[in-house]
Amino acid sequence: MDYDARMMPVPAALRNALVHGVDGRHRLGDFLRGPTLVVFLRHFG
Amino acid sequence: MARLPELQRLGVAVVLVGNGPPAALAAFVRDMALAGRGVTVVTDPSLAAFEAAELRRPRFPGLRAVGQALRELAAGYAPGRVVGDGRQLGGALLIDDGGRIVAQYRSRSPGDLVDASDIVHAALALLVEQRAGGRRV
Repeated sequence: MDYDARMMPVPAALRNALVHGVDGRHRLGDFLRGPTLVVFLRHFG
Repeated sequence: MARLPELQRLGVAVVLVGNGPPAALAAFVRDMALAGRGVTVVTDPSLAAFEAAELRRPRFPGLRAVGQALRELAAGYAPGRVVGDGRQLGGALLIDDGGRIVAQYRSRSPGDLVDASDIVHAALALLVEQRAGGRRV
């Protein structure tokens, strides 16, 4: 992993991005309430 | 996913963001045996989150990707049906409890995946830093 990004705030566009969960729609930022690893998958399957 | 328990012991939540249709989400969770593992799984077919994370979406796969695909085929791995955007590449962001990105990885080709050991190492470094009162160690 690249550590050069240390202390860069999560961009607002990322925090506010709408995502679909099994229980409906959320902002991605709803899930960033503590130390969090966000893994972006290429696709399902 | 094999290192998931280590991250959870370190107090790091895990959010997986796919880009397939929401209707495919439940099947993905089931097929990957993610239910009950403490992982949040969401999808963003609009790719807005991927774009905001500055993840690559190359127009052409490139020689590196072609080589990786050939090696996978030679190893007996036949890719399954793609559910989602076939061009979108992935990545990972480690975010601290202050909402700051402390480590990041962006794939350069389809087979370029973040090393799980690097993730655990970054999470350990974050934990040590937090316990040191925010001082970089």
